[in-house]
Amino acid sequence: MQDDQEQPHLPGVDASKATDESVLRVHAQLRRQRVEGSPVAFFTAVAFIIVFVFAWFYGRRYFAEMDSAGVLAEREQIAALEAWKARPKEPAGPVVIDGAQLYAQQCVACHQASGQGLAGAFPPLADSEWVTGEPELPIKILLSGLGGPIEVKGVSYNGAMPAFGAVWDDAHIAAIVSYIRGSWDNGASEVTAEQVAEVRAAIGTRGAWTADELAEHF
Amino acid sequence: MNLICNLFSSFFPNLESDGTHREREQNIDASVRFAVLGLIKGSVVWLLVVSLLGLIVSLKLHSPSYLSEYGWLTYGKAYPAFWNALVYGWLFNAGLACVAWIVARLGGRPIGNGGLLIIASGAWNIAVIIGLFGIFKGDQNPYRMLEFPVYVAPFLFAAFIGIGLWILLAFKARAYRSSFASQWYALAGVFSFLWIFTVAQVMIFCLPAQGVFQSVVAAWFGGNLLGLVVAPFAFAVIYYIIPKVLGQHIIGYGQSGIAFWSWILFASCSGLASLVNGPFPAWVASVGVVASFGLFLPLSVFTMQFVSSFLASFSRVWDTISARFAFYAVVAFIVSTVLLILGSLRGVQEVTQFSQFNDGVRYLFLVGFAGMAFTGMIYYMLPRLLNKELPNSSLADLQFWVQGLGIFTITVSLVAGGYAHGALLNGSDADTIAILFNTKGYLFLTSLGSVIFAFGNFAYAVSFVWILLSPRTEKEKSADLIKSAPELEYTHS
Repeated sequence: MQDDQEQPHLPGVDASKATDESVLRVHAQLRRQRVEGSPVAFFTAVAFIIVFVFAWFYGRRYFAEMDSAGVLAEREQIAALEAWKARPKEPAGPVVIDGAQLYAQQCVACHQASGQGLAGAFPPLADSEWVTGEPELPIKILLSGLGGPIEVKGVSYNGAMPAFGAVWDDAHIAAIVSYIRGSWDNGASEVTAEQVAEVRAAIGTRGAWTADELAEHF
Repeated sequence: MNLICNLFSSFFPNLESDGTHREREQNIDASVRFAVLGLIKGSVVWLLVVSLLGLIVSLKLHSPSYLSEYGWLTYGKAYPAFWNALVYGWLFNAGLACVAWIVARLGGRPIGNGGLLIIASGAWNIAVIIGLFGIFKGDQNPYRMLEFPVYVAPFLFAAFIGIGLWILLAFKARAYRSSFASQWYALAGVFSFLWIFTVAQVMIFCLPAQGVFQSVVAAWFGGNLLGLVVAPFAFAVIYYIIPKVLGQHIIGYGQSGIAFWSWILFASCSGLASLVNGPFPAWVASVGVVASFGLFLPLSVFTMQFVSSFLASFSRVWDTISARFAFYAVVAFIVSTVLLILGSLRGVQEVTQFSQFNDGVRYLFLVGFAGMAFTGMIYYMLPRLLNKELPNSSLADLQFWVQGLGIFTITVSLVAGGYAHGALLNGSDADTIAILFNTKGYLFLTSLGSVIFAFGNFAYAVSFVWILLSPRTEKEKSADLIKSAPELEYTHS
C-alpha cells in the first residue's frame, strides 16, 4: 500500500493479494513438486502410522472387551431366568383373609380406627350391643346394610350403613365380622364362612334392614 | 479422483483477449451478484433468528418457567428449531454463498444459469421456513438434525439439487483445467449432502430400516452433516482466503490430497461414535471411535497447513477482517476436532453422554469454525459484489471480538459444565435435582454467552444492512474500488 498513513487500522476493503489464476497455477505446481525427504511428508507418514496402529489396537481391544462382556452378560441373564423359573413355589394352603386390612379399607372412614364412630353421626362398634351379641346380627347388617333410626349404647343415630353382600363373599364377611367382634375389648366369638353362608341363604336378596326388623335378636 | 483433482491436465488458456484480470473478475462477480447476495441476505436473517432461538433455549434451561405459556415454544421444540435453523438456515445459506462465489471465481469465467441458483436458493429458504413451522406445530421427527417434518424433505432435496447442479455446472464451465483444494471441498460438500440426505430419508422414513438401525443411520447422518457438508464448505473458504487475502500460498499444500481423502473417509464414520454404550452391535460404535481417532491424520495436516500459512504472514492477519475471522475459525476447528476425538472415547462418553458436552463441541465446530469462516468470507465478498467499502470497519472489528467472546463463553460453559455435570451424575449419590442446581452457574454462563453472541450478530446485521443501503460515494460511483491483484509467487519450499 502506498498510502499507509491514511489507511484506518482496518481497511474497508480487504485487498486481494493474489489473482485467482495464479492461486490455481502456484498450487498446481506445489502439488506436483515432490520434495525428497521433506519433513512435512515424514510428519504425515508418522501421523498416518500412529492413527492406524491406534485404530488396530483399539479395535481389537474394544471387540474383545465388548464381545466377552456381551457373552458374559448374556450368560448371566440366562442363568437368572433359569433360576427364576426354578424358584420355590409358595405352598398352596388355605387363603387367610386379613380382617384388619379390610376394616382399614372399607370401615375406618365412618367407624374410625378406634371403633368409636363419630358422635352424632356414626355409631360405635366398640362395646356395642349390636356387635357383641348374636353373631347373626352383624352378619345380617353387613350383608344387606341398615337404614333409618337406630339406638346404640343409649344414643340415637339416623344414618345408612351400606350393604356389602354383593361386594364380598362369605369368607370376607366372616373375616371382617370376626375382626370387629374380636377388637377393642369386644371379646365376642369369631364367625365362620359357613355361618355367613347360612345367613345369606336365609335372608336372600333384600334391601337394607331397619332397626325394628332386627329387634328379635335382643 | 480424476473429476475432482485434475492433477495432470493443468493447462492455462490465454484469456487476455477477454480483457484484464480485473475486468474478468468484475464480469464473474456481476454474473453471480444477485444470487449470492440473496444467499447472504438469507444467512444474515437466519443468524438473527438463530441468536433469538439460542437465547430462548439457554434461558429455558435454568428458568424453566420462562415463556412456558407458549405451547409451541417448549424446550423440546425450541431446541431442535435452534439447531436446524443454525445449520439449514444460517450455515447453509452462508456456506453456499461463499462456495458458489469461490467456484465461480476460480473457474475464471462468468457463470450462466443465474436463474437456477436464485430459484433454488429461494426454494431452500422457503423449505427451511416451512420445516421450522412444522417443528413448532409439533410435526417434528425424533432424529437429530432430521427434525424437519417428512413433508419438507422433498422440497429441501429438490432445492439443494438445484443449488448443487449450479455449482457443478459452474465447475464444469471453468476455464482452467487445474483445480484447487477449495473446489474439491465445494464439490465434496454438495455431493455428500445429496448422498447422506437421500440415504437418511430413505432408510428412516420412506422405506424404514428395522428397529435400532434407524438410530444408526440417524447418528451417521448427524455426524456427516457436520463433517462432510458444513466442514468442507468451511475448508473451501479457508483454503481460498489464505492465498487471496494474505498473498501466501498454502504451506505443505502437497499433503492436501491426503488430508482431503482421509477427512472424507474418517469423517463419514465418526458420527457413529455417539452410539457408544447404546444397544448396538459392538462393531458399529467401535468403527465410529476408530474413525474419530483417524481424524487425527487430516487434523494434523490441516493444522500444519493452516497455522503455518497464517504464521508466515501473521502481521497481516489482524489488519484484515476476513483473515482474522478465518484465523479464529482455524483455531476453533483445531480445538473442536480435538474435543470431538477425545469425546468419542468410551471412557469419556460414560461421563459426557447425557450432558451438554457434545452440544458444546458441536457448537464450537459449527459456529466457531464454519460460521466464523463464512462470516470472514462474506466480508471479503461484499465490497467486490457491491463495489462499496465497508462504511464502518470499526463495527466489523467490534463484531469480531464480541462474536468471538460469545462463542468462547458458550463453548467453555457447555463443555466444562457438561463434563462437571456428567462427572457428578456418575460419581456422587446426590439427587439429580441437587446436581442440576450445582451446575446452574454453567447454565447462566451459557445464557450470558448467548446474549454476547446475539449482540455480535446484531452488529453484523447492522454492518451488513449499512453497506447494502449506504449510498455510493463519488469514488465508488466513478471507479472500480478494488485494486488489481498481484500474481501469487511460487516459492520453492
